[in-house]
Amino acid sequence: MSPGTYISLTLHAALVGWLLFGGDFDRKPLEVPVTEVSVVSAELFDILVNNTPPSIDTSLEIAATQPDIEQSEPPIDPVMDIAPEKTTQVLSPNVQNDTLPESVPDKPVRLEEVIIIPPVVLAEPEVEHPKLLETSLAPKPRPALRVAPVAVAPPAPNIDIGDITRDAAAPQVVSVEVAQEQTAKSPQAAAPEIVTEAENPSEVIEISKFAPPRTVRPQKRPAPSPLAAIPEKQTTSVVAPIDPLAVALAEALGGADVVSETEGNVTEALAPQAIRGMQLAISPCWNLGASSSAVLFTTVVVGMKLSIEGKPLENSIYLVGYEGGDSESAQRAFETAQRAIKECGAQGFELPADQYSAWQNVEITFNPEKMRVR
Amino acid sequence: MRLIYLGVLAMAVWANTSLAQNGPLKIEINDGVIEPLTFAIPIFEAENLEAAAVATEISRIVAADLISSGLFREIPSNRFISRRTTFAEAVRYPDWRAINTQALMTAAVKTTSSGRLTVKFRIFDIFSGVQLGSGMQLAGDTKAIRRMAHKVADQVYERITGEGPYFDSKIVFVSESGPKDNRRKRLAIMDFDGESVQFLTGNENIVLAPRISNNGKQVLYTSWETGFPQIYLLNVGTAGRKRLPTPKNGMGFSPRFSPDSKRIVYSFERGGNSDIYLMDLATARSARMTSSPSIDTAPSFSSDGRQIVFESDRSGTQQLYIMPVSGGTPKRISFGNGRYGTPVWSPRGDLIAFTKQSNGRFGIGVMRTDGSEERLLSASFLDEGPTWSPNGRVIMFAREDRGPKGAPSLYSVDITGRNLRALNLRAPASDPSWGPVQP
Repeated sequence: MSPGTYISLTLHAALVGWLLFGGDFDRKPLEVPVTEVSVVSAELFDILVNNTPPSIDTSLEIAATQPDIEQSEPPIDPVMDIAPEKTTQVLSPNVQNDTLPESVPDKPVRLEEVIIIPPVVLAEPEVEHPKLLETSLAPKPRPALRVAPVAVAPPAPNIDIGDITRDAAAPQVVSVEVAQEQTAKSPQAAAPEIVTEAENPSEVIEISKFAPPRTVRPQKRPAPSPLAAIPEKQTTSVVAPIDPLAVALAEALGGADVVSETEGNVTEALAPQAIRGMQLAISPCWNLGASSSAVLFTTVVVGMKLSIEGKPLENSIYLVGYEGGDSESAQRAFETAQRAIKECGAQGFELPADQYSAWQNVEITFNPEKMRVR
Repeated sequence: MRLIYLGVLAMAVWANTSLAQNGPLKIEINDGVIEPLTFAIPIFEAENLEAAAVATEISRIVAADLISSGLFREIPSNRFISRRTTFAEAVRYPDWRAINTQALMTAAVKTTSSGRLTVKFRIFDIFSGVQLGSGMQLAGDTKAIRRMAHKVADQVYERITGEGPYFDSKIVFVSESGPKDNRRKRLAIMDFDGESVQFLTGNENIVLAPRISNNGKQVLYTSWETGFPQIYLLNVGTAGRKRLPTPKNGMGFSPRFSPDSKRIVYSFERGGNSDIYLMDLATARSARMTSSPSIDTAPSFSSDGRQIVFESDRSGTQQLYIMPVSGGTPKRISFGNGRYGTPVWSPRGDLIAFTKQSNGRFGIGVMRTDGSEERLLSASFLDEGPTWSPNGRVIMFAREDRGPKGAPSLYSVDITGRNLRALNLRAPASDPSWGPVQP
């Protein structure tokens, strides 16, 4: 065997021997932390050892069964038992988490050092408003000149019956429809290419020469003159009530205003579009962002008069009524509504002038129910 | 077919009633906007030379107060067209309308050699072209500039919004310093806006959960001064304090005043079980209110003092319960997913604010006193400890950042969930308790 083999055998033998006898074979038992626990309570131990009744604190009873107050300690001395140590210190800026603010002892400062007397109501200022107010006053009608000193009865209706006597009309003969003879047309040949007028530049130029410079828009109907009285109808014809289907159709098609007439009371009604337009005009100015919670639960009805230009008349806005709050919240809600009307109605609402009588007086209900959940 | 006829008939009735007008045109508006009211506060007029600096300072504090409410937006002075010179001068409404000012405040300040400060002011609704209410005048000590400004802001806020005031109020809180695993805590008191901080205790002992009384003169808090939690009563005016006696062999914590400040409710822990106790401060005697093997804690009186709300895990998870102060069976009011804690009854009595833990996040929320209409106002890594402003419109709470260096800070939020903003406080703070409006 080579010397290397001897060396290897020796080392392996030493390794096996160390593994067998040199290791930590005599292990010590692990040190298990032991906590002394008691399986019986102190009261039970007393019963077992001394055979004495337990002293149970009977104070832990619910208030419903034992409302008596537990006296755990004698009443405290009302005198402060620890000297005041309040200090005044401005917090140091940018205090790091690892640093402590310096404790600067100072004399205690009484917090109630300030006396503020209750507010005093000031007298109203002398304001030179008339020159500064920009809103015009409500127009007053001028006194009408009387033509005759004494009222004259209206003339009898001038009924022109004509001088020509006509015979009674003969019964109409029902015409018989005669089928016209039609000549057969040759089948229309399909055009190889569709050319519209707009695609023909020469024709467009030619047409544009004769076109009006701008689109002619329909002019507004004049406002009804108060002097132009509607002649009293002699007949007793009954005006047909408004057709609901026609109204719905007109609304769907965005048609003209619908006039509702009833016997003895001729009243014009605004188209839904005009009402909707007024709603859309006021809504952006109805700001409840600075309103109290109570105002958000108060619905107010605000009345006003509008000028023929659609502007709210000065001092015509008033509170009709309120619901859901008290008078104070109603007043705040009214102020908010008034602000909205004046702010967005300063330029006048877009309303049809020919139906002024229908919107001269307006009552708007401001209902904040939807605004509460925003 | 019959249905079609009925439909046509209903349509006809609707058309006739809605289109035919006999009286005024009737319109209903149920959609508006929720935006801050634009207001302008020109620098207050100084009626004497000494009042010039004071006038500027007061006007800026008033503007800052109103802006902090989230209900107002200030028109910057560089947009003003009208330059008023005297307090008595008439308001040029068109000038203010032109810059979209909705409310205008004008004021004058006067000081006397005897240390007297007088502030008089008026508020105007620009678009309505009228003065809102009457003008008012406040007088006080010249040292009370900040309080005077808060008072003025309160009057403006109250007159325009209809809400009660809250700017001239104090907040007690725990000022914290040091690393997160070894925080030093001491009681402090400040103005509602984080100014005028004063410490009420030293930082030798850990203090927790201060609660200021409804008259603002006393503070309850929990301290480890004796080595384990005990309830202390502190006089705000003198900073003197005394330990309140609680039942033996246990720990008292989480105290809170009754609305009349004559009684307190608190938690008392003995043998791993926490229950709610009621103490009469005049006699220092306690009565037990709840008795269950669960943890009942964080009690809070209702605004009328007849009920309390508290948190309890008697159902298996942390939920909110209310019960009469005179005793009775607690009634559970929270049923959402998550854990509810630290309930606080609103001064108005209509809402209960709480901390909610759900999906690994904490948030501040409010619900009706019957548990309905629950909604969360904030959510973050850790939001807790809500407290109500005196008018019940704003909630302040503590928010802590994530991480080993995360420090708590105070936030406020409107009960609508808008206007969440951090308090401008230059040190970590937690456990706020909002006091009343000062007389």
